[in-house]
Amino acid sequence: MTPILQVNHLSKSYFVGYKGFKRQYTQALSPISFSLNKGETLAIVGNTGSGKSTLARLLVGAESPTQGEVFFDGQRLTNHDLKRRCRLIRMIFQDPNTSLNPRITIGALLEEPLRFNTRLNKKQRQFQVYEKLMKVGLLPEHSDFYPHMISEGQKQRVAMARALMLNPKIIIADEALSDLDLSVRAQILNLLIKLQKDIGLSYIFVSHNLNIVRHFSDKVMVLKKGELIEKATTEQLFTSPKHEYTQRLIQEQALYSHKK
Amino acid sequence: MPLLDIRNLTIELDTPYGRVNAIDRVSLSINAGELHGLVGESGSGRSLLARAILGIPGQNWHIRADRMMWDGRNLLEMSPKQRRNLMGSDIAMIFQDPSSCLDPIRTVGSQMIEVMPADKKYPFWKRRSQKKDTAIKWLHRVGIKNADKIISRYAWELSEGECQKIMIAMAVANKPRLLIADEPTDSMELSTQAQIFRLLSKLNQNQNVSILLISHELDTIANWCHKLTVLYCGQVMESGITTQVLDKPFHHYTKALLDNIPNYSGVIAHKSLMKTLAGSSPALQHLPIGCRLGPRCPEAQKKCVNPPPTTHKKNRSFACHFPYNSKQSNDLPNKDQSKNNDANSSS
Repeated sequence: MTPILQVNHLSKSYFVGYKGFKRQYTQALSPISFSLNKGETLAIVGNTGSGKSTLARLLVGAESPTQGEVFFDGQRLTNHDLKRRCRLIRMIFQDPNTSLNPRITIGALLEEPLRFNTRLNKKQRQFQVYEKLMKVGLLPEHSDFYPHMISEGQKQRVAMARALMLNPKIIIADEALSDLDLSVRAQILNLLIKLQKDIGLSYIFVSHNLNIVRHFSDKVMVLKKGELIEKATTEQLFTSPKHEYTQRLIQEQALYSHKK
Repeated sequence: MPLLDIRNLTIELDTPYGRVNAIDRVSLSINAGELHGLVGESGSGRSLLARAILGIPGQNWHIRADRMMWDGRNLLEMSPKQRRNLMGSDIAMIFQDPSSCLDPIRTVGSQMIEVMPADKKYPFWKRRSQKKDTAIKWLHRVGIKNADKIISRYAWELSEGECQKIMIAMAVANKPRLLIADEPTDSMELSTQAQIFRLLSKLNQNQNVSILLISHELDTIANWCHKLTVLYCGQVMESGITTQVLDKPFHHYTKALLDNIPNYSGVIAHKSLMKTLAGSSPALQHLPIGCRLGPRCPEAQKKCVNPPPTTHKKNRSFACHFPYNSKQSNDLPNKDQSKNNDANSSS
């Protein structure tokens, strides 16, 4: 079985200025390779500045990589083929309060990706919107609401529905759960797990909360300063962490969270 | 005598929809040298409570309370000027989102020096340099390494953790007796969070500062607080000593919060659904009557439309008609525990 996403030696360096006549670059992400199967969750763990967000942005196509290639289902995704990429890989952002446009209704907000990427007519689009709203546990009536009229947990559900709109195969959640309240977080997490079981979504899950990562993900990658430090299945990583840095992260989590 | 003693504080807000009851009969008492945790979801009125204690109400607020005592003096009867004198010197506050609270066009040092009072011991020409020295000393004390360089930096040049430490240094430099920390570690990574909490608890031990720690993450602050108050929609659900509250929650909301923390000790299967309360917390205009958890509570019954009285039990209090865990409280092992509690409280 070919993995749904195969990443080979993907790297990113940013131009920072000249030193004499030489162009200077900082390496935000050293070459990294991994693969993701259908219905699997890959968690990316690391401190700030470790390149987890860079990796997420590269995969979703918000930045073009310096080197390396991404294969989707065995086919190569080029940098310019944004149309195909954005149908297959969607992203959920961290803060639902700021990532939803306050000036348009939720229905219009959810319709937008369909308007730009498909040839559906208005009625079909509306049907899709209702269907996706129901799928994430909201009502069709919510499509007439503006984002400020619903609670934070519901907003994150709308963000989830927007990500699902084009029937993607992979969803990238960049710290999507870290700002939410505990009870809302558990609800959204349940939703993510349920959707994975129902339609076989794959997730790439960027987080710094190892408790959630342990509960939710199948594989974990640990990044530090743009380099891949450790890659293992969740059980392996948490029972016998190989690298000293991973051990420290896990110890920290055990020390500073209530349940040991 | 507790340092801060609030009984039945009610805050009502004037909104276009009429007057809404944002905080409903909240009681809170903080002893000197205590680290008190206040847990609640966003919109549960934590920040309102903090602002009411500090004395910076909004224009549309109506504050009522049976008692609001600060160190034996009634806060409600004080003049605004007296309240202002308490602010900053006796009660200090660390606000949410430190990097946006600091002025971006002035150096961090000048902002720190601004809030520090002049020391009358020194002649006026020495006061300026002396203030700078104290600022550096405090930056050192909160754990900033190259303090003499940081002091001439701008807030946007520093990381979030450093900004937070500077905010703490500013708050603590006047040696307040109560420090209100409103979400001090919001969206920080774990090691920085731990640093900040360690710093706060060190301040609490060494300088004997009482701290009111406000957060939405029960699991992170549970380790650091002596006492815990759980707030939901402006009502106190439960309060008591942290270990007891976490071991044997009386209120269903506390129980639900504890269930929401992913626990990998083997109880929950990998990728299984977690227990949650159905629905979401109500908007202020549509608050349910009686116990505000009512519509979401798994054990709710007809009686729950009456506001539950606050029950006190072995220095814990809770507001619920049908408390969780209460049936087992007469069992033998619990008597042992109550003995332990007595031993703890006497020591």
